[in-house]
Amino acid sequence: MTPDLSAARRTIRGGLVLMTLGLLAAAGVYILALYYTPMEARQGLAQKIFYVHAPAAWGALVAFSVVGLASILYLWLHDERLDLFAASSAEVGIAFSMVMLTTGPIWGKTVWGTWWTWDARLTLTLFLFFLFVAYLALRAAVPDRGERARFSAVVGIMGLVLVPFIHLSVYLFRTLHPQPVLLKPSAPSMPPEMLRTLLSGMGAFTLLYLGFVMVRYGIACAANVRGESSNAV
Amino acid sequence: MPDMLRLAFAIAAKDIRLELRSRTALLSAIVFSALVLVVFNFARDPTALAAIDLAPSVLWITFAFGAVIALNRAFYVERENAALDGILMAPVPRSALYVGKLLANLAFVGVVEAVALPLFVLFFNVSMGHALPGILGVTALATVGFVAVGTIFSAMVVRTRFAELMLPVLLLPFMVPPLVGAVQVTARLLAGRPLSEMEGWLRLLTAYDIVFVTLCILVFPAVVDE
Amino acid sequence: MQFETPQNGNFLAAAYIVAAVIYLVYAGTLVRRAMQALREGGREGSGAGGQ
Repeated sequence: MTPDLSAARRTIRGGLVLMTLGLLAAAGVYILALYYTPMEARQGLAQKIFYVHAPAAWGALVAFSVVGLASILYLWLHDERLDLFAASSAEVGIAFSMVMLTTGPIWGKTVWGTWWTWDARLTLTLFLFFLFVAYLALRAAVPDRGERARFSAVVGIMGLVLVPFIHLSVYLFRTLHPQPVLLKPSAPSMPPEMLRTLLSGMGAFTLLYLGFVMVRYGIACAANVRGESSNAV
Repeated sequence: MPDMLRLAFAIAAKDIRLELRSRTALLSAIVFSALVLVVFNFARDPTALAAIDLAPSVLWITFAFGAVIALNRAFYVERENAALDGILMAPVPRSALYVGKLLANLAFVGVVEAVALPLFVLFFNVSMGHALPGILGVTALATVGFVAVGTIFSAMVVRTRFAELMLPVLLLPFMVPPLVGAVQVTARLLAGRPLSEMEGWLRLLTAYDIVFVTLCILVFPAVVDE
Repeated sequence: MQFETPQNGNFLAAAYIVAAVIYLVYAGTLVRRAMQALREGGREGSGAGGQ
């Protein structure tokens, strides 16, 4: 029986289009950030890292929420596609977390003088990263598709519930051990160019996220249809 | 509800009886915890930091790793005898099965902690006296958190390859909130601080326990049923 | 109150390059796997060629 890859093919094609648009949009944001947005005099040029760092953090958070949501829906509806979508989002989430966790310390070094600090956003993204990795590692260790989907969904949901507790832990921790204050343009007093660049960045990288997820999901569907484990997610 | 609890106790009792018969896992977990304490002693510079400053961290890292080791054994007995399949075929409510496992694991980890705590007091010369009831309380609170999540994950992980590695990778992120809370409360208890200073942390610990035990009961069927 | 603007353009460059590399490398792995998943082995059901 010839495996029917037409749906997967369509998904991948659509995803590649979105991904290319996302990459182009991201390049546009780079240009905006470098040439259009004014420099913040107190922090110097490095402040502009913010325009790549913040959307990456946002992307990781979106990816994680999608994993959680799709996990809940999977346990409710038992549709295998939800499982594949969740897992695709987890993989994309790793990419975004990695960007956040590398640009963050580079920026932090210029602002705080140290490479790492346990501030709320960095800590949370670090946790998201570990949860993504644990999620995908578990999937790799479970050969049976149904079992893999169920177990992943459980981890996805539990991870989602864990996030507020991490927030609370960091908050309680910080009220005891004041962290260096992050100098970043706060929304109300942000000059319009900065705000525009930030919003463009959010839009561009959300588009990139969608492109990545669609392609990965399409690949997973194709592997699923073929019964392959090599590109399965 | 009372039926469910009775069933849970029966399941827990069976598990505990099984474990008492062989005891190897229990003894290994106890020895492991003792060794962790010994390693901690040699891993620190006694001139740099007073024992009392490090004490809460040492205690809780020992408890945390001891719990992970102990939890690994949770479903092995079942797997070895394919007994789990037998239980699952009977019309046992999954919540009873989970709570039963939870209670058995709590007993198991509790024993490990009960041995590790006096050893800790001995090795690190920590005077506990007035703080002891509080420390027992916070230990119970945090352990419930560890074990609730650990029971679910060990059920999942027992049939995978590299199970001993998968469990910590999955579980440790989840152990952080109860661990942080426990260390903070323990530190304050040892320093004789008033209860008001620990309120936030205690609320965190309690909320975590309630939320995760409930959540685990809800998702457990997805782990054991097709 | 005078302050001196720190000269940290290198950090900016490093961060932007690292981010771009991560995204582009990931995109590359996706394209490679997409080719793999669609081209090798399976006969096309609808006769459309690979991209």
